[in-house]
Amino acid sequence: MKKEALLIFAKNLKYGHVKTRLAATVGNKKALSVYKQLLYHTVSITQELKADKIVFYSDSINENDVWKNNVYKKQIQDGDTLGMKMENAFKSSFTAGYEKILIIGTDCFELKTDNIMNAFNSLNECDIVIGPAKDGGYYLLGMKKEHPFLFKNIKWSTNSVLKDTIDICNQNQLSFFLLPELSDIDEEKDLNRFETQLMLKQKNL
Amino acid sequence: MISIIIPTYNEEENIADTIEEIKRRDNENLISEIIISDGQSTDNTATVASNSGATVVTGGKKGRSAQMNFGASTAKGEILYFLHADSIPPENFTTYILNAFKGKYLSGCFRLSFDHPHWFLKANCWFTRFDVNAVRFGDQSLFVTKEVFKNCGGFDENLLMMEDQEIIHRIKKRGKFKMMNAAVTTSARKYLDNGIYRMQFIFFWIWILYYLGYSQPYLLKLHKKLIRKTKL
Repeated sequence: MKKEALLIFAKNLKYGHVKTRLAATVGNKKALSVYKQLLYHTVSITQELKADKIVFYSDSINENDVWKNNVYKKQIQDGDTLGMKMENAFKSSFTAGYEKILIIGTDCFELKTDNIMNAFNSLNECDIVIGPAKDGGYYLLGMKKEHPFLFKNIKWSTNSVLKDTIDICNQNQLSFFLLPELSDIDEEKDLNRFETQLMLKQKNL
Repeated sequence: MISIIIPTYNEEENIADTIEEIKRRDNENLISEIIISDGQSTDNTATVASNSGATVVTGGKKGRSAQMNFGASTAKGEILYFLHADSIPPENFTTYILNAFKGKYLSGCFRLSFDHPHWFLKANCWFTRFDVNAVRFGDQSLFVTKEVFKNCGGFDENLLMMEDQEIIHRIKKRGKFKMMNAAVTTSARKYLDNGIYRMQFIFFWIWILYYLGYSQPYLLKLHKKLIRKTKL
């Protein structure tokens, strides 16, 4: 077992259950295909990382999907709210013995392997590392020990998640490091940018 | 190559412009990062700075010395450049710094100018061209190699003020110090708010008391009492 763990929160690939904010305006079919691309991207930037990688599924473990069993450990998210689910994921991973833990979702197409490596490195100096998303949330959160209060009293999926988290760090005298600001793919207005980035990425391959 | 380090506290109004100007004046792309070392701001300084492309860090401790030291500890560049949030470096400032470094200078600073044409402020600035500690201000900014900064132990975190002056004595023991022939522009706001002569008198008075060995808490209390703004 490594000392560093990357937790990946992923939705099970189910028609009508992924990217619901996007699906509301562009339809379920399109939303599912976008989500698949985001999954492939997340696999491509994480599979080479030296840290242990643990996928947390929303509903059930799939032994036969893009997350190869010899690369990714697999668990199920546990809790009612996003905050509780993340808190529990950190808790079980610290209990398992990891010393530096990061969590990411699968919504950030701009995220690169370097960002994740920088995040692990920044935990040498700081208690907390945060990847700020342009919409006011965060695309990454990392820490060296459990801080349950980082998940309390936060209005999830609003534009105040990042600011609330920073304020909580300050109130608790925690040092933190902000990674470069990146954009998530959540709504129809993100789609044009996403498709251009996808095109550019495929050209480079 | 050069890591810019700016200590901040509740600077959401100005910090984006400062970061923009810094990038614009780095003509040869010598900056490796702009580190905003925030002192637990209660406003949106951290998110605004991050939005402008800066690296934001917050140490556990408040105070300009502690913030600058913490920012330096996360810096990747070989050369550190400390700047105040209300100051703008001169055009091509990174080229000046690099040229000084190539000329075997291990630290240095710029002259001072204000964004207001008052003759007394101008006169004050004229004196900052001399490499004499008495006419040196933190507003003049400071470049120093990471190695020298580390070896001299960084800013003294026991100091609540005058930390910019105090470190110069220790830095100069470790290598040549360059007085660069260009000026940092700093906001005259605190002078105009407090009266220009009055403000300069306060600084001068505090400076004398500092050298007479008065305690830091006493100086800070005096400073806060005399100046109608807690930020400097």
